[in-house]
Amino acid sequence: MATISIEHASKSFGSTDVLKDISLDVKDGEFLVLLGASGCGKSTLLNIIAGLEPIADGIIRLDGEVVNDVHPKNRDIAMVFQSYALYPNMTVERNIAFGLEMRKISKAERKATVREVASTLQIEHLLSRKPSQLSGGQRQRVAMGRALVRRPKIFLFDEPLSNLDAKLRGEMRTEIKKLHQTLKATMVYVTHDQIEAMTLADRIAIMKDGEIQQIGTPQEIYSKPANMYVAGFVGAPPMNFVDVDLVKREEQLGVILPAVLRGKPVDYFLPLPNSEQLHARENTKIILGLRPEMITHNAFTQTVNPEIACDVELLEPTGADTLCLIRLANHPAKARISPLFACTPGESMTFTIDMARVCLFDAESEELIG
Amino acid sequence: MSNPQQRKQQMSVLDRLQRYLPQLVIAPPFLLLVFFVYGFIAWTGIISLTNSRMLPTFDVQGIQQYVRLLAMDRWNVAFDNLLIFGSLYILFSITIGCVLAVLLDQRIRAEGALRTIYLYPMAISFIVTGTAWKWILNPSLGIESYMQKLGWESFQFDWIVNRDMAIYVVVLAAVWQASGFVMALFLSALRTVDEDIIRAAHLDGASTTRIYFGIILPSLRPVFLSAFVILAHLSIKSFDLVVALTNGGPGYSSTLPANFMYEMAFRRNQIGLGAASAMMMLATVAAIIVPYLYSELRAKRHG
Ligand SMILES: Nc1ncnc2c1ncn2[C@@H]1O[C@H](COP(=O)(O)OP(=O)(O)OP(=O)(O)O)[C@@H](O)[C@H]1O
Ligand SMILES: [Mg+2]
Repeated sequence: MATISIEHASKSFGSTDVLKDISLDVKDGEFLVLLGASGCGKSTLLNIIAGLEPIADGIIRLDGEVVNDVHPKNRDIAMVFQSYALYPNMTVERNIAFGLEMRKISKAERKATVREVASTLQIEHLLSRKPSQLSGGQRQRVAMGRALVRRPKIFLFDEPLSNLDAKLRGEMRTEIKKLHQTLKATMVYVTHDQIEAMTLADRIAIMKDGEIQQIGTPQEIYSKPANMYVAGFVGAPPMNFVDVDLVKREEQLGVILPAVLRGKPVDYFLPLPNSEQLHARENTKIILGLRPEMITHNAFTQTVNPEIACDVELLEPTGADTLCLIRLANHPAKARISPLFACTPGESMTFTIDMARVCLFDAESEELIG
Repeated sequence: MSNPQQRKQQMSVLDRLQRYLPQLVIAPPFLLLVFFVYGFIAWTGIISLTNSRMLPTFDVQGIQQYVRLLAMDRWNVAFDNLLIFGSLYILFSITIGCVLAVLLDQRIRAEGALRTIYLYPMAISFIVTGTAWKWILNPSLGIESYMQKLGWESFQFDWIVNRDMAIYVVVLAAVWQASGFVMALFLSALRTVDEDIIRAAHLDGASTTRIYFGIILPSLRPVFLSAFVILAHLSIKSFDLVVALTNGGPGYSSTLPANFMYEMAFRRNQIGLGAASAMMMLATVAAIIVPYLYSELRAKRHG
């Protein structure tokens, strides 16, 4: 059993509030990813969980027990640091064994455990080297080894893969996922790479300026983002935001989407399928959030989705799909189509809009409204 | 018809000038250096092999000056003093500087002010340090008389006038002067240590003392080495501090080789003997600096 529960934690360095009233629950054996832009307080939150930074306000519980005043070493937590933080004067073997040494574990036992961990991570041949004689990927493995060797109940990872090249990052991502499945430990993983977050997480917490914006499964975060920040942060290319008017036509609530066809502006009326809670907002401005894949070519002759025809300014082939740059409400937007349907730039083409999946945001508060 | 070619030649003159300019600029100071430093070292070396007295002569006699030197009690006292002074000075300056740096590294308040206060002694000349400590330690003016006036009649602190202890007074003043500098050296190195290493060690369960002595300080080996070399050569050169503090006394109990050399060469008309002692000091410095330079250069070539 290892649960983490943070209640109303806040932290400031001098006059800057780094964490503002954070509440967070991590279940036993869960893989929680903290995702956010640089400087939003992710590392600080990890340090607080580990007990490396005191908090001004709030309560932290591990397994239900308040640990605000418990020393880091007694929290049974291991952490892999952003910079790896290997001890430069010690060999790889001693680096990994240091935690055991401090816990007064016998030399023979230490040696055996280190061997075992080293063989899982495939770093046995590096045991006698110093950290300065290792490559980035090898250092990363040693840092993992140092965390694994103590068999703690909670693992914290602070952007462990950010210094690796793309290929190695992919490999290590898979290994970390496997590790989580075999160890069944609780893990909190910090990253600003959304692919890492989506592929690894049981749940993702999105942070911005020291506040948690949303916590949910990757699918929830992707399809029902709580606000425009989350919607724009997750997904590549990012969601298109279009200022639209909410109007009623023939007893059907919908939005007016301004587009451009053969150089001339045209307005399309897009009916909204689930619009019960939106009646109060009739005739106001709202923001329509369209992911690129929601604007796509018409693969079927019959479709319930509305169609729009508009000029394509530019094409960006990515291999599997082609991105079309179009203009909606005077702002560039991206549509994702199959390369088979791609027209030439400058021509116009017909797209269907997947109205069942669109997101609607309040123009003022930027919160999700439907 | 020769216009382009002429230009090409001009260009090449300019090019050549540009290429040799650094050498041209460096050459005069280099020659001066060779003459005044290495030239005079050689000159001193030759003088040390003659029996020059008041004026230098150049008829080389052999190593008789060295034989005389090594038989002189005054020289042996000076050289023993150098060993005592040098080792204690280096040991205490590094230990105290190191401890101060570790304490200041704890992100305490008023750190900037404290750092300046500790570093300040280095900015004072040895003469001032020597004079100030001479007053402080003088039994009839300083600490001893002050404590006695306060009512502690039996208090005694007369090292400065004590034959056996005078050299330790020199150590005291020199350590006072150098510790702040060593502290600054270590503090700046400590500040480059990745804070996450300290955090990782805390998580691993190491105490703060263990973190400093087991992880951080061992990784600062190059700083220890620099501090050692700087302090070692300062201690061998030490001259003015002794002059101001004890003037070598009582008797010649607190002289250092530099004072000995000055005394012989410029006061007692024993230029040959002075030169021999100077060569002995050079050899001592070389014994420390040469291995250091060698290891530095080798590390650079391999690094
Ligand atoms: N010791 C400190 N003193 C003052 N400010 C700090 C300190 N540590 C962090 N901060 C500030 O707190 C904020 C959050 O820092 P933190 O390291 O948690 O960011 P992060 O989300 O981990 O960013 P990154 O992705 O770049 O690692 C930053 O604005 C940073 O400037
Ligand atoms: Mg960080």
